[in-house]
Amino acid sequence: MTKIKRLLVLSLAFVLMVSIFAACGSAAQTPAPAASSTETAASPASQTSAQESATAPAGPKELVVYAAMVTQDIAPKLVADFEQQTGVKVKMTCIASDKFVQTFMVAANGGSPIDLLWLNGQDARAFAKKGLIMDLTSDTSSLVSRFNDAAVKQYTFQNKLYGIPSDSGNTSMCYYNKDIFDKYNLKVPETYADMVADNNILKQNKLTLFGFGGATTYMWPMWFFNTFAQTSGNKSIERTIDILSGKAKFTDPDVVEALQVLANFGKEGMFQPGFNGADSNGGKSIFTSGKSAMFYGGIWELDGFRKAGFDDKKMHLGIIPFPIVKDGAKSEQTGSAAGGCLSIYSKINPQNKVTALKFIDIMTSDQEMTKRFSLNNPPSSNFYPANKNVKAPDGIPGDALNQVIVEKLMPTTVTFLDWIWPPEITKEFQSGIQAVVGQQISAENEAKKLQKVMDDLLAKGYDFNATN
Amino acid sequence: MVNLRSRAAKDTITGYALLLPAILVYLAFTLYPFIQGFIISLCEWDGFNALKFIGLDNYKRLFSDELIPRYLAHNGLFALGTVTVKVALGFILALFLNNKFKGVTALRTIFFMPVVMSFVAIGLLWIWIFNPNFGLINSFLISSGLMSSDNPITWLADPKLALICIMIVDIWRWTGYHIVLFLAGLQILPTDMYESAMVDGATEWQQLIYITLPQMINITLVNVIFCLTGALSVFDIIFVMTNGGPYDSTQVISLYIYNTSFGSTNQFGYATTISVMLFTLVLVITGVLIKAMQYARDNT
Repeated sequence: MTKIKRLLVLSLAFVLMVSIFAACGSAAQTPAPAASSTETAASPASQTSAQESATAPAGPKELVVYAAMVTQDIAPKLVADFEQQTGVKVKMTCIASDKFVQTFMVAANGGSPIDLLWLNGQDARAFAKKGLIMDLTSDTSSLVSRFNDAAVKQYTFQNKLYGIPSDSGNTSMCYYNKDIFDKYNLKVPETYADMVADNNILKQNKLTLFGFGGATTYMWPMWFFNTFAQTSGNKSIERTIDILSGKAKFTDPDVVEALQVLANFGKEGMFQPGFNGADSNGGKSIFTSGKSAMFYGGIWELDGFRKAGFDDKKMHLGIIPFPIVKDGAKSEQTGSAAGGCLSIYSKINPQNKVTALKFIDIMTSDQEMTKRFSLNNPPSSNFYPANKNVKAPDGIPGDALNQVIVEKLMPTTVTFLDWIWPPEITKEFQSGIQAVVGQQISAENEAKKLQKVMDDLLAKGYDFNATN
Repeated sequence: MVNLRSRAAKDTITGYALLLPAILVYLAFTLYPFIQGFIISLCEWDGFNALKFIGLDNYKRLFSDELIPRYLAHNGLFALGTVTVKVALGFILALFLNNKFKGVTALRTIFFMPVVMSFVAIGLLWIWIFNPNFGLINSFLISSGLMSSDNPITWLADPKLALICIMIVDIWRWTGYHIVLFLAGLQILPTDMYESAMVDGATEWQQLIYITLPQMINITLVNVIFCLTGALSVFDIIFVMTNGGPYDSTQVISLYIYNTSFGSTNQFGYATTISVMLFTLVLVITGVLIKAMQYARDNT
């Protein structure tokens, strides 16, 4: 009896050992390429793609896309045409922009099969520098002519094209609650003085001018884009390039002044109490619950605000460009995201490359880009079609907001500066502006900290032109 | 010479065979990653490209990094606050819940409930409770006249209060766990000593001081070790509630490791070096506490 028990115990131990080895072994295996012949000839693609597909081995049954620029709810509709035309399924993993790099990194290091990346401009630049995405210059040469030059330039680094424009650009603005402005007889602010005057009245009524989630630090640079645009004489992009190239400094007066304006916002109490302890959703809820009169953010917030009650029945929403915060300045620049791009992961299974190129071809076609407008909700949330032959929709018929966007904001929209800054500078700006507005550090000292980060980068061999 | 046929030898083999799966799991998921981590700490690595060996450069940087002492101090403060309160409160509540009265089982369950809740859910719940504009705490303080609505306490946005707020949440969550550990200790205490003490006329307070406390030293040290190691490596609740803010006032070493590796700069090599430092620190402190536990056991 004892012998049988011992034998059973040893057998159990052996089985457990084998299980552990099997589990470890399977994780390290590279997935074998699928041997299906689902690759079809129904490609409207370039000749290059067609030629390659003629000689290439059978393609995959599935493409894996990691996307920072797509939300999971519209992903299936986006890829429906591609799936129908090719018979290849698309597995799209949609990740919020601020979590994209780490999620992708974990997946990539874990050996997960990845074919394509749908990136924003900031990540595209960093990924190209790290060699994580392929140079698509020759593979997509026949596609380039369909895009506006500016869109292509966005993803061209060192004269090589690393991403194919796959979205339309958008813009940012100040939202305001018309009902609050009417109730307290406030002037919709055009200048800093207007903002201060409005805020004083609002504070007497236990409200604040802005609702904002300052704990979500990656949103702070958006404020700086606007103030710096004005203090730099609407040359924020040029001045940023000068600073990153070592020709100017973050301690220059226009940068300090832009930070000082933000410090003044904090000093005047223009944000709700505890704004630096509220996250992005907390900040938005201050605005949608009527505890603040304004909210500064991207056009992508519009749909959420409408759902939260700004439906022109319960509450009324207005939008304006960022007010003039420097005497005599003109507001000719506001920050925006210029849309995303599709890139091919450099470690893609070679057998999947032709299908991946076909995916890029179909997804960036005029037809698909036009369809994209109807998928975005609201349809007016993107305005700059990357494709030459695609026209942005006229917007929501009868929507007064749309007119402001088209007439006032669209012409003044320029790229977000953090798409140009190196990550170290972006990080310092995020925490630094939070501290400046929270009165923890002066604008001058924060500018010095920024320059210190820049000097350290330059000392380590950072070369802006090497990634531009 | 060992006689393989002997019963003792067979038992030994069986014992090791039974241990082998656990040892393999330990080797594969603890020791191997640790060794690999140590190797990475000697390299520069962005998480994607090949490792670049740089010797002890990361360790030199560690000792000149001005942020490390600051964040370690936050860990120290967090440890001091949470260990003291959790252990003291856990013990007091365990004494109370060790009595027999109606509803004691329900109370034990209630105290333990936060332990099984997700930290993300707990974090989000408390963010709203601490919300200065429409949070539960400020609403209560304003309605009871203890605070003016013109000047609300900003809790998580106040660099002087944020860490204390997180400590309160941590204490709220883990006290139930320590109650259970203390209860287990209390319930195995021999009753004969209490009976003798009662015969000798000892008061309940005297019984607590001279019988219960000395008998509970070991279990108290176990609680302290659990609390302290948890406090030194605290991450999740801070990540969810403040992500180290405002103005770095709740930034701790584990979060610094995360941000250094997965943040915008992807410095995996240096992040791993900080991890090795944290491991060493926890190892030394735990070692000292275990020695103290052995001393206490030998002298009780």
